[in-house]
Amino acid sequence: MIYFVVKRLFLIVIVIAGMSVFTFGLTRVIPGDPARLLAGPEARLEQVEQLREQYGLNKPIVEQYFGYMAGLFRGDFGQSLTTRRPVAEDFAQFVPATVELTLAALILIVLIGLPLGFLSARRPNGIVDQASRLLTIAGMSMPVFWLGVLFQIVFFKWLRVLPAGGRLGIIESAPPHVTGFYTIDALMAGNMDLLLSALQHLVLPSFTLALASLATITRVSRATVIGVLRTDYVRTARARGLSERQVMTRHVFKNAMIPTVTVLGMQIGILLGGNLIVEVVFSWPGIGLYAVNAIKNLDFAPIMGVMLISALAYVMVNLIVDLVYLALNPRITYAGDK
Amino acid sequence: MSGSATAPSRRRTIADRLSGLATRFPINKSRTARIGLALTLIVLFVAVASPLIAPYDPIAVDSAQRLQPPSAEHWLGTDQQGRDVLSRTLYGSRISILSAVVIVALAVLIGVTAGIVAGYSGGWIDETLMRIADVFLAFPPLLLAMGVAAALGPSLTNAIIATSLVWWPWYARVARAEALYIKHEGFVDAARTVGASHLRILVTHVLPVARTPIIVQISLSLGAAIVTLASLSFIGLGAQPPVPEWGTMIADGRAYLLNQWWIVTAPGVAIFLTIMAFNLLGDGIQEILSPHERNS
Amino acid sequence: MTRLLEIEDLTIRFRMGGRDVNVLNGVSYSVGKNESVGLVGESGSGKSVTNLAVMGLLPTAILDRGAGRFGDQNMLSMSPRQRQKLRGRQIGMIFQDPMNSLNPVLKIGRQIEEGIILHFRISRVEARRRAIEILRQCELPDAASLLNKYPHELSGGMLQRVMIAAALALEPQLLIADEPTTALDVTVQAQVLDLMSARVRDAGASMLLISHDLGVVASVTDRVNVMYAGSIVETGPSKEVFLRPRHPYTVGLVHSIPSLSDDGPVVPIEGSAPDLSNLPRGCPFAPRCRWRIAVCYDVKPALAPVEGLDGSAPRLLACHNPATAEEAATGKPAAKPAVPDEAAATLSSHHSGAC
Repeated sequence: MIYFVVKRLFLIVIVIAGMSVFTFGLTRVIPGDPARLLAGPEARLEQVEQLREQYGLNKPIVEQYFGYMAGLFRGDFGQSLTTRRPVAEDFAQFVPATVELTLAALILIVLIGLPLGFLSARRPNGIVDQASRLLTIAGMSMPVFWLGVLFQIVFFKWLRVLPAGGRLGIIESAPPHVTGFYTIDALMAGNMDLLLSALQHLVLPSFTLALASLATITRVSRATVIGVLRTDYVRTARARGLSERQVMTRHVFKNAMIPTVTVLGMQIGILLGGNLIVEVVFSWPGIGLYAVNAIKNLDFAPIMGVMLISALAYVMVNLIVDLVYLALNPRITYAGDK
Repeated sequence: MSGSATAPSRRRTIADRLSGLATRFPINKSRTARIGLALTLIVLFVAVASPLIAPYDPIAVDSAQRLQPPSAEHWLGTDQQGRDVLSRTLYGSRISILSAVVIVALAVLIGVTAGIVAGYSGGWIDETLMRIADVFLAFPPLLLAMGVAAALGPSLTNAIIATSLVWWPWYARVARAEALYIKHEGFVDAARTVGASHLRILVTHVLPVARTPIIVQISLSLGAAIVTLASLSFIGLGAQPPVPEWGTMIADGRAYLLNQWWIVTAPGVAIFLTIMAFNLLGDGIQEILSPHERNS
Repeated sequence: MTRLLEIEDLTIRFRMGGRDVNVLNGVSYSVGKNESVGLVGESGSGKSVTNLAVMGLLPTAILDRGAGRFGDQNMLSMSPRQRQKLRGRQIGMIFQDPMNSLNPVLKIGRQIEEGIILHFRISRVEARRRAIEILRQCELPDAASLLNKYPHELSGGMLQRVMIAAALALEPQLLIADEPTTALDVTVQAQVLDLMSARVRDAGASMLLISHDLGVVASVTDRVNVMYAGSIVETGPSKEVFLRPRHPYTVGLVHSIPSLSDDGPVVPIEGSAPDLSNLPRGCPFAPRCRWRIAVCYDVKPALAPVEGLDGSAPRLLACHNPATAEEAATGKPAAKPAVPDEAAATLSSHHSGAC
């Protein structure tokens, strides 16, 4: 098992190295002179040259790459042209918002998707199954941005029950910073009004983000449970005299969880991409919105930083998912144990 | 080839092939597939026929008619530049579908080639290609497309290239699995002993077997390609105005959400229906090929 | 004299792909107290379906008529809840593949104890003690540490012993074993069978052994029922049926098993199993039967008492033209079938691709 983890970490390092080469390569692919872009359109020639010196842009490309990598290890992601701050600082400000949104979506997916899948599987082609199948098809066919816009039209314009964007109302200010999650911070400060407002603002974006993945998880858990219900060991459990409910809780649940967990991991990657869109639609100040704004200004350091961080998070999450899978399933032995 | 002598026989073989296809793909077995096919055909028809059925020129600006609600003249109203929303939505289907086809074609081309070469060759070629694929797979899909599109510059063409770079590893994996399977069967060795070259083996033996799972994957990818492309356009990296791409239209129309809701609704509903059509079709094909999935 | 298990005229079909598959056609047999009964037939004969249906483990089966009585209660007219109460505690079942019959992600101990706790309502500690005890009785070494293992860590033979132990731990009155040794190595089969029948006998319970192997069944059971295409064709004391079969199918079964003591040739049964969605009129075995006569194609023979051979006990038989003692010994009919083969060819065209 240790062997497996080490081997995976080694592979991850290789992949991350590849990723960094890739993102670095992207920055050098863009047409135009990086030093000039950095300096801005009004800069004079000496300023451009000075910047070129300062950022080592006149060195050979391989040296530049290693300089970039060294910077990354120090936590230096470069400078943002738009905010005129180190990208790392921008991250510190915007990452918590994104994490709060992603976690909220994840909670929704697990709390709604799994039970829905289970209930659908218990009575295939029943009411719950047909309804969730409809939801699934709709959810998977909606592009995230359109869904967000639709939600805004329905819940903000027509029904007037939920806000259209932002993390808090315009006149409200953030609670004292503990975690960066407005919901938790408001709770810890005992400010119930603020907590309510933060939750209200969180509802639409997290639902929008969750819907597509919700559909997939419901499908997968339904299929898995149906498969498990057909197995011989479930038949044995029934033959032993267990009631259907006992069969479900003791035998079906754990067995069906295992493949479902892996799919959950994959969904996180989708969430990390959908984040971007949702933040734009709902003006949610996370790193997605940050990256998109940077795109408009051709500001590359933030874009690359966001790509790397997200990819790293994705890779790590998948590793954790695999480890959880290993822990739950005593049967799997990796790398030639059999 | 002389004209009339060959024409009837050619027509007959096409009909033969179609009916052969119909027996291999009993479309009646799946209601999902039937609905999906019907919707897809409608979408395809619209895409092809849009120049004929669209009432107005999609990029013609008419300042006098700005922001008009749906009426007899403009069935779906006009946008902020007076352009007819219906026409723009119809033309959008052309762009989306054409682009999706190109994206998937590119991804399949790169991916399947890489996959079967990797699977068949083994060794360091396999390792290297798969590591490269892993690097691409390590990025959340949309972020990868975004990064590449940003680096190449905002345009529809670049968005297409960027999106196909996101999908190729999936095809590579599927193709590689099939190639590995074939490699371990006897007839590759048999072909080698008769002196067949590697390329010949790849094309005549490996490729046909890999065909089936790839086809299923393609039908599911088309819908996803449309979404990704529209998403890229939404954040400004894909089709640039005045091109009537659905994502761009929704992005532009957002500012007028409160009062002129039709500007975003039309392309939104269109994209939803199109994607649903492809998804249903893909689902249906899967149901037909592996019927045990849906049963109780 | 109430039999423990009484299956009466059970007729069941399934609906598959728009057609009716008649898996059971008027099946009747019984198991008495302290008795060991066998049910023999090939795949598709319906031998497993009978019991699964009666126990309520086949929700999609359609019951046309018949009863399945346990004691004096008809299990087929009970509510699912009542049936569930009987399962495990009164009637235990063991299935064919022990590796798949246990949940791979739960420890063995948990799975055994779960049944004990459920039915006897005792503490976990007490359940564990009983589990260890029964495992030891089933000749499993190191019972205590076995409870902490996962199914994939044990061999097939050991797992099947575990299944037997788990079933017997619930102290059922009847143990139904459905092909318990088929998935095991030949060397282990005999041991497991002997163990099972011995433990069942010690517990004062009855056993119903289902198998396709007549030899296996004959050695451990008192009586045997032979099934073909959803009907019982022959019933009688096990040794007698094995040594002196009367139904042509049974004759075929006996002689298709190669044996060390018998130098005679192995005589396979020609043809293939019938299509259960398209059963012919008359005896279902007729197309493959070498003793057939004209009436076999028209009238399905009923299960009726018939004299035993050479002074053996009478038995039930469903046949218009059973084998004689010499024919039973050689496996071949004395004369060629009375009905010419063209009739067979015409009638077999009714069967659409039975394979």
